[in-house]
Amino acid sequence: MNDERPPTPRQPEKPEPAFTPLGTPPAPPIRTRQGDIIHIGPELAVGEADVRAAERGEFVTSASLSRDAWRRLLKNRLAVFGLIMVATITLASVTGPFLIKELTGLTPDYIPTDIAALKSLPPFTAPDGSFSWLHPMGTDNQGRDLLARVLQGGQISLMVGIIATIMSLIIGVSYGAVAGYLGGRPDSVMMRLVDVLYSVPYIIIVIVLLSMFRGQTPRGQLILLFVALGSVSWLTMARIVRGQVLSLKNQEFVLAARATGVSTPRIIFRHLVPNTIGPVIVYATLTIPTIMLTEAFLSFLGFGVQPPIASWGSLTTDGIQNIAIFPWQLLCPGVTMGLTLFSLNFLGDGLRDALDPQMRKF
Amino acid sequence: MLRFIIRRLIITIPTILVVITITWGLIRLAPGNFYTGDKALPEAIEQNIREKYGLDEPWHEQYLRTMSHILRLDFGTSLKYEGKSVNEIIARSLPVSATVGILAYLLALIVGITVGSIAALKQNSKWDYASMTLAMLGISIPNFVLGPILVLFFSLTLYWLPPSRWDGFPSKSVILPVITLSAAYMAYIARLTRAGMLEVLRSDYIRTARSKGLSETQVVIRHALRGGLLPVVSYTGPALAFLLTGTVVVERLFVLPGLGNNFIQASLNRDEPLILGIVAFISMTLLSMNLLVDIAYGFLDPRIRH
Repeated sequence: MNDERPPTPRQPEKPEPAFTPLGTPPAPPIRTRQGDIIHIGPELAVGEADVRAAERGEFVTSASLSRDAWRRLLKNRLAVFGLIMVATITLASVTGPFLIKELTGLTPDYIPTDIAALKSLPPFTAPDGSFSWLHPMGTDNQGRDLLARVLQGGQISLMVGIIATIMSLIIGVSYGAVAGYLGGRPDSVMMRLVDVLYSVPYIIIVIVLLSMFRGQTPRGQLILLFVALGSVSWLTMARIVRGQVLSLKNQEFVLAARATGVSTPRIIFRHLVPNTIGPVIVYATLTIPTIMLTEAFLSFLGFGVQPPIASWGSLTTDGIQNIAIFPWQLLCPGVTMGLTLFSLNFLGDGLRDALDPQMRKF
Repeated sequence: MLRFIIRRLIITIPTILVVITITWGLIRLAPGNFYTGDKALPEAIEQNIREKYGLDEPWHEQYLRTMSHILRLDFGTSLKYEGKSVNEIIARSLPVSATVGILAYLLALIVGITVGSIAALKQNSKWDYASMTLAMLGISIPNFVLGPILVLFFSLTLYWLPPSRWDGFPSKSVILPVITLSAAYMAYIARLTRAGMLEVLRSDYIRTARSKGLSETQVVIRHALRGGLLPVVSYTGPALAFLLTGTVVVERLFVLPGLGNNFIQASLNRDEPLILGIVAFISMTLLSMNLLVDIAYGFLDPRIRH
């Protein structure tokens, strides 16, 4: 009758009694040596504490769980480094090209009209060979500012990583949750299919897909890339979510939802899926760098983004061709990409340790 | 064990069929054709080509014909390299890819296991942090960035190694491709070894071994490594798949006449028999390797014997 009810048990409506039913008064506050006051509540009475904790419900526990996880994450120095780097690079990629245009008038596709500047300049060098702040990463063969190009390439690379990850999230979470909740024969058929797809050398199929449908518009190629990468990277996500749902589906809140007549899709997506969020976040964070790496790999082979759109992968590939003479054309985008992937991996590892200490690899 | 192997084989065969079917479908669904190149062909010539390659038959007949050929391991002749059979092309390019791949995997195993074990034994030491940061770096730097950097340093600055060419196995030309290819696996195997070893080193049977008075070397080599390396063994399957994509990059980068390079070229040429042949060959190799890995895993860890 009432299927809007959230899966968490409701808070007790009556306020906590000041005295325990046994009639003992609350313990006096204890003062520590630092002067902090610790209150010991009446609910510490043995036996009743268990009941009260259960009555309080998951609301309190889950709030402290995420706060706990955040605290653990902040303690992990490498993860904090990753977080800061990822935030900085994302911010720079999003705002950088505009800032550069405001400050210097250079855009990623601006080709200078001055003949002297129409060549690849090393970092921090003016056309006459003197020191200059104009091009901190130098310029490419056409004299375009490399920093602006790298930042704009970052937009594309990050976008591919995030959109394809969201796609794999949507497919993987729904598939895994449905398989896990239905159980039995549907589950075994669905997971057998995942087993089969797991051993498919999907990168080969992606290459065939991208090479066969290649050469429409750059935008079309980009969308194809999202679809291709997203649709092959949901398998692990499906397995993780299925495992979570299997362990959750026999708990009381699901039974309660079912007893009150909540429809199956609603149980799956409103009651079960929100409870799998921890492992899903961790795995999604680790999927982003993998997908970015795959995009770069495909761009290197010539199947990724097409000009005029550039990504870190395609900028690096352009740089490889000139490596003997203009090494900064490879090093600048390559190192930026490496640093981003490095930070994302550390962040993902840190999140896993923080959200799921049991999965922690020491 | 036998039942397990049979069950795995039953999954393996449909998997290969799925892969080939998807590939075939993609080639056929894509607009255009292998003969529609730069210039438009006269109607009659196009009709002749379609007849010659059986493209005018109903699609399911074409599909069944292709499949039956592939299942008999007869991949036909290439459409672009005239007179060359696909089997011939695979036979000629496989040794190159296999050499680079096997050497890279061996290097990754040796270095990865050594570094990972040392990091685990000296947990939380300077060595541990340094090697694990390095390992994360190895995972994060794409091999097509690492390769050119190595070329820049060893070939273009020091003039020690050739930047790109293939002189067969025992030659200087092998070194850079193998290092480029193995870096990421090395890093991954080091991380896996460390995690596996740390778990094992805390277990009861290691304590027993220590309390029996075995030397630390014996404890590590005879007892800890065997259990600690299980994650590494189970990574062998995925590693082979990654090795495959890695070889594509490395072969492109160092211009090696290997399978990956041929595959990319075939995809660009829309050379259907060659694409299908290489895809079928790679899937079969990968899946049989995975099967072998699973069997090996069953022998190493009696707990999960099926």
